Amino acid sequence: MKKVHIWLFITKLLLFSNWAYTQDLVEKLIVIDSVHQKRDKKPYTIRFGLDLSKPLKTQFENNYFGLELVGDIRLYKEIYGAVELGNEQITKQSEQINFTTSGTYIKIGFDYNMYKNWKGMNNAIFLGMRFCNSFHKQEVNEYEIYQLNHYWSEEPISKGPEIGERDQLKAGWIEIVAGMKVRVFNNFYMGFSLRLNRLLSNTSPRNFDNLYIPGFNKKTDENVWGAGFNYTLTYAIPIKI
Amino acid sequence: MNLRNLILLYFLGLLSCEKDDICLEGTPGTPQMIVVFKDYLDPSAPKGVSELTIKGFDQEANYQLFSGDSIAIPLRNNFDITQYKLILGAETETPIADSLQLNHKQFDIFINRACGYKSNYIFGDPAYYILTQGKGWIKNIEIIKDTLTDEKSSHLAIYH
Repeated sequence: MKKVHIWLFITKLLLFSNWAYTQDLVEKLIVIDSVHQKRDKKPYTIRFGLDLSKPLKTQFENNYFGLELVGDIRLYKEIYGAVELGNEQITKQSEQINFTTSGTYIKIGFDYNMYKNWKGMNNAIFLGMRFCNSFHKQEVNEYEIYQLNHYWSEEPISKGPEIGERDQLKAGWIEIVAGMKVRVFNNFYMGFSLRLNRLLSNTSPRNFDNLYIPGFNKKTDENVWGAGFNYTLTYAIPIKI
Repeated sequence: MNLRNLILLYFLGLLSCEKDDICLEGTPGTPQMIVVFKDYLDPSAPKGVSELTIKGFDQEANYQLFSGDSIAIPLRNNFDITQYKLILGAETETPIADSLQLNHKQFDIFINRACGYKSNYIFGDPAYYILTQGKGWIKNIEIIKDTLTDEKSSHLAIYH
């Protein structure tokens, strides 16, 4: 387009006398150019929906609430921008401690589609990456003291200075994602993805640890790796720009 | 879908199954109180006891029948006091008993997911009562260290 303009400018200078003709030519060229562009552009499909596994788990497990909204947009050829936004609350009995974690997370990144679609289709087998952040709090409900001698009877501790909430905690991690999306009917897609997480940073709660991080899932001792999955239902709106 | 992708998905799936953490043996837990027995007449010299029965108040079983000059005794967790009966010659016709109450505060320290919390103790003020004053075999008690954070050094000396 730019080249056309420059060329036209030069022609205009040369054919200064023939101004009306040049003007006409410019208009014609612009029309041709925009038609050409339209033909080249593929639709910027936007998909949005939710992770089905979390509401299901919420239904069947007493100590869990979770919701995750997902979305992706085709940016360039086989590259998609992707985002997940979620909220989780979970009460867990770990080996010695009963605790509740609650918070929000956001994952932003991209997917690369490796599946060769037929024209007009938008299925995907993809590899991707996400940059993730959580804002959460941890609450210790009850714990048992680690003792080697069991002469005195031991009762779990449910009140005291360690019982209670530690708020304003953050965690950051990256995820490597592998998954697929398949059109099931009309503009609805079902998707599945597996995630390998690597923790980069997390604020340690006072005299406790982030045993669970919303979005990251279980965090084990001395280990920065985690894993997750989601099972999505999304609706695609084809937008032609 | 090609085979390579399938294999990749499979391995990612495997990673999501992992065993629970195990509290490693040898991780220092809640420290016990280290008691040393010393000579009343010569306070620097250790003086062992023989066949000392140690029994917690309200406990059915004895803690230990002990001979020697140094022993580790657990404090009662989640309580402010620990009471022990210390009986010399329990099996004989003339047992001599002393009752000891230890006053303590506890603060719990997070270790890790697998082990959870351990307790440390600080002796209160006063640190102890000899409930059977002057009638028993214990002549004096000295607090050597007023915080129990480990079992590396002794915390309490009993002179007899």
